[in-house]
Amino acid sequence: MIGKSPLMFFVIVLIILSCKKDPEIVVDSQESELIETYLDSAGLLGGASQDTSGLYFYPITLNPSGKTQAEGSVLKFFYQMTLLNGTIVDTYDSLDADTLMVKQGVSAIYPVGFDYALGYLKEGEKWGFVLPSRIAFGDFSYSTLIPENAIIRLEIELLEIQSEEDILDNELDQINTYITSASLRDTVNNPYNQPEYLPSGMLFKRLRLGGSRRPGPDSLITITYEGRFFDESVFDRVTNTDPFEFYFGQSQVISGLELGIAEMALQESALLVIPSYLAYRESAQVLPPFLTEDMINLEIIPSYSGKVGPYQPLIFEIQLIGVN
Amino acid sequence: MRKLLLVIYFATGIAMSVAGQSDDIYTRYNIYRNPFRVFVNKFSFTLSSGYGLTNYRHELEGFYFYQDNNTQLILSNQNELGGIFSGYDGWMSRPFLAEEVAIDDPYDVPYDHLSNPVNNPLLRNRQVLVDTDTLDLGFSSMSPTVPIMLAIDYDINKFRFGLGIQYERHYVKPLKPTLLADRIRPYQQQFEKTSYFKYFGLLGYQFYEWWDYTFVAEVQLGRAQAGKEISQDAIGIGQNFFSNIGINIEKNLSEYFRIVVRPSYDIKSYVVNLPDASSVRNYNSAFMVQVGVSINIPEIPRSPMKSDHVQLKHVIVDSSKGRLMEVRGQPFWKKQNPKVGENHRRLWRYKLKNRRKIDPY
Repeated sequence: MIGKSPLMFFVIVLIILSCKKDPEIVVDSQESELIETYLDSAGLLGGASQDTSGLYFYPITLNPSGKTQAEGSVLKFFYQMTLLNGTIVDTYDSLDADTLMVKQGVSAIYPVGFDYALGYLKEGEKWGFVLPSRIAFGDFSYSTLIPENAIIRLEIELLEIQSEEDILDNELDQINTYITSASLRDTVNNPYNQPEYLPSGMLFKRLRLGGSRRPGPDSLITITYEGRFFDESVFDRVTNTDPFEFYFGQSQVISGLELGIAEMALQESALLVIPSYLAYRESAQVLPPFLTEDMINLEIIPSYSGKVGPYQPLIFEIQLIGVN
Repeated sequence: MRKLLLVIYFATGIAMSVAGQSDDIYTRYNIYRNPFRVFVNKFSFTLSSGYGLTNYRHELEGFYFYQDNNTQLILSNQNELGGIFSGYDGWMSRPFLAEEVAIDDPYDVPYDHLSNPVNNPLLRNRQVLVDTDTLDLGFSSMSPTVPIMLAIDYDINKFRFGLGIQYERHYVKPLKPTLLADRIRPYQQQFEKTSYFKYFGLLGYQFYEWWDYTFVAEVQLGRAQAGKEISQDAIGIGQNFFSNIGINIEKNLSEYFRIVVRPSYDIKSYVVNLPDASSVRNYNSAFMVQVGVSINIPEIPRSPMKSDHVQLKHVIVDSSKGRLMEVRGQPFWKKQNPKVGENHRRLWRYKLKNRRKIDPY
């Protein structure tokens, strides 16, 4: 038959091919079945809904009078992440030192389903979510803990909704506290000038005087630096053996660093205390946090987010060693 | 010297062909054959074309390989790496010093923050820097190739000696990395098409015969001249040699005419010298299958008489010269001394027209 009418054969092949479903849709529908079976067995199917991203959500604790989120809200929360079989992937609760913090809706958290999930909560509420693999970790696997195409269950408790202004106020308080704790006003130990707030809101303190040459537009700047947090832990360091170079005024580096260097002359040293809005702002975070390096290597999040978390003010101690 | 060898070559050929006639029927009965045709008959002319795959590949041994969103560069790893990478592009054909690039990760501290950072497309394919002493990085692609070959060979016993030329058109595909394919893009060479012109000597040996098939092992050695897309200034001296090993499978349709199928493997490479005296060897070996025809010019003419319907080779009297001469009764592509029906097979060309008949010929 094939020999007699090859055209018919091709038509049949084409029809068969056109009937094949998109593999992603097949996976989605298989996962939906699994998720609904799970929700049914847990007695949650009646209260659960599914949104267009494929995320299943159901309330655990409601707080109708709670504060609702606005655009650009910063959320503080606890969470627990498990697989459908109950294996706990990660837990973050009141036993941990700080609450987690994320700016919702600006792609600052991975997996992306987490970002969608956070959008449903009011302050004081706790919700459960089930993330199909497509909005969880996809085909990424981690050891035996997270298999490929894992369906992820989340329970998130939203503790507080803040605005970025609240965060900034808090950072300014931290900076003031740091001025005292680091004795920056002590002109015996730190003689050259008093710490000063620049118009941008960052703190500048000269540590060593230099020459008269200053950075101009497009100057090639060479610096060495040590970057620290308020607890004095060092997150990045560049030394004389491999100094850092960049072109001034081209927004290559965080604006706090440029604003600070604009105040410096060649061979000067200075201490910059940079609030997060002049540095890495909401940064990007991966939950569970132990996947951060993997996600940097997979080019899912920027490298700086492995060093600097959300809304972290930074201290840079800088030596300006070249202006060309 | 070369001319002398050529003269000896031809003289031997003529002597042997004359010697071959000396004690045979032609001498005994004084049957004339044109000695030039007898001599030329010893040569086979083969014209073939086909399809091949050329494996363009290179190993970047002793180099740093750098990639960002815009470029891919190499630099000898004898150099000290600083914050600036000053490397070369065009290492397959026309190397040049590319613009300097800063080799820091542009998304690391203290570079500027990125809005909507998770899964931001700007993060994709950012800088990759590989020292090929620690990772055996190379690039490779299979590129379609169309060859056209013309060869002349002299057959003596089971050996063949000859000369030939071959033109090849290469449709070169971007070269895929041999590792880190998820991070390193295929190398986009400067040329998408190039050609090769080869001239070669060939040596063959007829090692097997089966019915009317002949199998000949053949080696070609010669010069492969790349097209202008590959800069001759950048290629090292003595980089144009190639060798080719193939099997000629010949279906002998007649004494003078055969169809040839020739699978072969072509071995060649060239070194591109970079301006800083480092170099990259580019291999472009190929597997090809060529199909063609091979003919020998018949040593005797067709019978000049229209009324002569003799089917076999036969002797006639050349009335103008008054001597005996041997002539053919068949065109050169048909069997010259057919048995009954051999050249008048049932007319298979009517098979289609007669397909509804019981015996459809």
